[in-house]
Amino acid sequence: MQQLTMGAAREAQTESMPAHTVRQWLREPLLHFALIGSLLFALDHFLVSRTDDPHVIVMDQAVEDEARRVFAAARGREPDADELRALRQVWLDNEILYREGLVLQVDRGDTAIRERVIFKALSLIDAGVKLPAIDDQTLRAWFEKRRDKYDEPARFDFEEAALAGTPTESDIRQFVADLDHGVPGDSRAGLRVFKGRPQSNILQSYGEEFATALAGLPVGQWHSLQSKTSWHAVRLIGYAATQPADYDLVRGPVLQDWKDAVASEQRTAAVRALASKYQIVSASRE
Amino acid sequence: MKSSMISRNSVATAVAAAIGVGCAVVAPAVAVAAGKTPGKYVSGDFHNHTTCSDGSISMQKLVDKSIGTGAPFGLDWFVQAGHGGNGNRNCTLVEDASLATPAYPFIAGKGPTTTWQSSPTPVTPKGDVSGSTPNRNMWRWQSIQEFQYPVIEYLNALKSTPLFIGLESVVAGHEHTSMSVITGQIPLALDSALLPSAPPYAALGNATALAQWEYCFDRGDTDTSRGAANAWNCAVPGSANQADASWSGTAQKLIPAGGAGTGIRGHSKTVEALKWMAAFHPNGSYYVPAHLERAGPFNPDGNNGFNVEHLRNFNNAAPDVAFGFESQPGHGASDARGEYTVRRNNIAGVQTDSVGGTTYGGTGVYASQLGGVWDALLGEGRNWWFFASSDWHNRGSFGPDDTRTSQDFYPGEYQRTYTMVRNGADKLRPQSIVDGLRTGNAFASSGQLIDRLGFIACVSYPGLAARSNAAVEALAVAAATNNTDIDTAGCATMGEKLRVRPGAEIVISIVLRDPSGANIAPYTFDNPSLLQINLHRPVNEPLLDHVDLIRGLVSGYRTPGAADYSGEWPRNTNWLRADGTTPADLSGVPAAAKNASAAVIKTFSGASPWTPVISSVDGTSFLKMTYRVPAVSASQYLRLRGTNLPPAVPFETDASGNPLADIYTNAVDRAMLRIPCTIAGTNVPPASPTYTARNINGCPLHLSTANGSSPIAGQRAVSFDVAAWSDLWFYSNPIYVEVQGGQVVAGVK
Repeated sequence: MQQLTMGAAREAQTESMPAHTVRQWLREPLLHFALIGSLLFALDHFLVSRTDDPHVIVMDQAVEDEARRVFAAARGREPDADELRALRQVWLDNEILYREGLVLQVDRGDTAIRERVIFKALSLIDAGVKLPAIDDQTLRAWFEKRRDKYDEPARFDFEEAALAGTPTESDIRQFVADLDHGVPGDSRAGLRVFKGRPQSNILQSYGEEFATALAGLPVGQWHSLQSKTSWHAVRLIGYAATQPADYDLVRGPVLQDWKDAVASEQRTAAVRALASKYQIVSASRE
Repeated sequence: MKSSMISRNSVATAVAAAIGVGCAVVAPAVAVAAGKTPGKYVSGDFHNHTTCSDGSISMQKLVDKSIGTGAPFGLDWFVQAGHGGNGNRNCTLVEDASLATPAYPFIAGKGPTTTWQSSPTPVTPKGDVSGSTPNRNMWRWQSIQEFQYPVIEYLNALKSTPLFIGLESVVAGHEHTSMSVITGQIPLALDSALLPSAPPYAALGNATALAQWEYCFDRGDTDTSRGAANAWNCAVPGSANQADASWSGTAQKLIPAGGAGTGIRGHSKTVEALKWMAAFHPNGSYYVPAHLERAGPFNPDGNNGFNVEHLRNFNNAAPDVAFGFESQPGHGASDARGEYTVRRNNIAGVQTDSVGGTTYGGTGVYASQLGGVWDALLGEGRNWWFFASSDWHNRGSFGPDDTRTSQDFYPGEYQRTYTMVRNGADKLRPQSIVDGLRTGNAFASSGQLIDRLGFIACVSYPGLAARSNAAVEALAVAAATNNTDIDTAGCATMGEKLRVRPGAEIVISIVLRDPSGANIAPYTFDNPSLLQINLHRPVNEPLLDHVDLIRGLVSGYRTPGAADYSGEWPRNTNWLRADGTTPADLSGVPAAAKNASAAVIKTFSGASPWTPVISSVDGTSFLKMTYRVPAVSASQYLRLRGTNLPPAVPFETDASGNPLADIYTNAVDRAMLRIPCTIAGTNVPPASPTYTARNINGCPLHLSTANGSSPIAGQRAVSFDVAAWSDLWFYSNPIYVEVQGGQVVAGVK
């Protein structure tokens, strides 16, 4: 309800403002912060006000619908009137137990309940996240700041003929000589085939020295290469150079990433806003 | 079966273990090939929880989920095993009418979280008073003996499913162990029993032996009542008992004092527990340390983890009872896989990591590290087997019927241990299942990566005794396609040993089934871990990438007290560094905890060819592969591992295909998250209501967002159940090869 009011106010406001000014406002993080903060305080008030009268239990249509659904799932048919009455009574009994349990604070110290409540609260925050409108120019600028993430990386196709255990440099050099004389690549501990591996993968898994050497290998010949941990008998099969990303082709993923990033910022801001309600005391750690 | 000493010399020279526990080295009674009773590989789970301890659902719901008709997880056998100690909730009460049975009907307003004293028929717990009315705790011995066992026996008969009751013991001197004593449970008379049409159910058998063990040896059971009317005495034949300083005359059991030396005294008590099992229930019990890296290294002044010497002490004391470990823990979907984390345990005032700091592809460092603790034990020729269990408690952020989870998987949902159970024409029974576990003829698989395995080694000599690859492959194909093993002279399978002459050639055939189609993961989007290397493969359609054949040499049992008998795995950043890397070699690992000879000797994959073969039994597709080890001169073992992840997958596997630390997918430290999960999808469900379909086509909302210094900060990252479903492994138990005149493989007959 509060959310609708805020939305209506925003619509009313935008009608009287120039379009570019509106867009600037909608991109303004402080506005998002204020909107979410308002929503959360409203939500908080709503929840608190509900708990003001914990002795009122409302059995509405949702209860009956859920009872019907559970019964149908278990029995494969709709409950009759008596069964429905019994189910409503079960729900009521459980709700009373639930309320009593909360009064007794049996949820305290139960990590499963804590996690579930956290997840639900976060979901409420997520539901309140309102992404600002974004035009193509702004999105393109956002993309340009991160374009290396979207570039098609250099990719390598290569094979490794493996030896058992941790072979020495001389073991590998001898093996490479054997491979050059026609010994099959899978003749010893097996052949590993790597296709389309991005350069970042080579760097992360084998190290810079290996990646540089691999990029310089002639195609189709076995070589001994040293990675950050061991020696390898390697043959480059193919190489594709880096291709700069074409914004028009990657616009969809870019837009999704932008949405995720902004939503994440707003989610964090919202939680931090709630933190202002609490006095945070840091206990010293041993 | 008869036990014998491995060698007179080894016993004569045995001295007290480093921490004061003297253990004779006794060979276990393990069957070998020839004249085997027919059996099948059957999947099960022996570590899971209900509300009677700290689980979230009733016994009936857990059984129904795990093994019930129509349950998606389809286990073949099931052991319900909550914590030792006590609890105030009555897990025999069901949640709703769908779980009601004639003997245990649904009672409105009562459920599995109702306390014993508030139950429809109020129960006053026996023994020493713990807690206060109306929430008094019941000692586990009583709940097992009087309430939980009868439910299990009743459901066993009602559903015609092999169920029995076990325990996750809270271990004196250590953390936890999955165990059971099956004596008395599920008697043959149950086969023809008429079940009542209304409460109560009077059990035909009993779990009194297990209840007594729990009273006598579980650290959490501090009751001193001797089990009330049971009047138990916990003396162990041949032990000090009353002469032990820890003996309580009132309780008639060992009650070690706290404070300095707690771990040492506790471990001694636990070795007594194993001796008790070996003395009274030699074939009717098992003892398998659970998530044994989680609580950190052994703490002489507290109750933390297990070092390699403790596993040796257990196996020495009761080789037919303590025959393996759960180095692949449950809790696979939690924010810290397996609940293994850095700085988890306070030991002597210092925050200390779980051993290894985290899991590696879901498996603890003791078994996942090539050449590590498991290889050290196998390198002795011990019967020490690998198992995996669910450790089911709850679904984390979700309700129990949701297909998503941020904490635990149900038994059989993710991990399955397949065990050869030789029941012939008989039904599955607790004894045949425990006998199967003891043999080590078993393998464990996560995410339904494989569901059949024939792993066979045959000896070949030049001339008439030569064996072709095709001949051995045919045996393995027959075994795997019929879901059984082999019974052929000159051949052995998992948990067995092959005796050969020096210079023999070993022909190893592996036939396995990577089930086609989808597994039971709820996610249909592309596996984000594989997307890093440009591979598009749905999370719920994993494909076996490769199989590693691992070999290690056997050098004989270590002598208790010797320098290479005891040794702690490098702790904290001496193993798992702040950046998530680990040492390049095992030079920092003490001799006791490693086997430097262990290595991958062959990797099979589509490129290092395996060959498809269609089953003549059911038309499904299997893969077969064969390798020959030439001219063996030393006793050794062969084991397998396999995965859906190729080598060199960033933050998952290294360049040699070894699993990397799971710290990169553990949401407990979001700054360490590294693998983005950004597929938006079109049907990603909200947090609630409960979601029961298995078709989620985008990254679910409960995944954590990386933060801090993570290079993907701000992006949703692979974590929780998506991390587990993306990273699948299987592990086989070993086949031993004993070379005549060489090192005896003493742990297997």
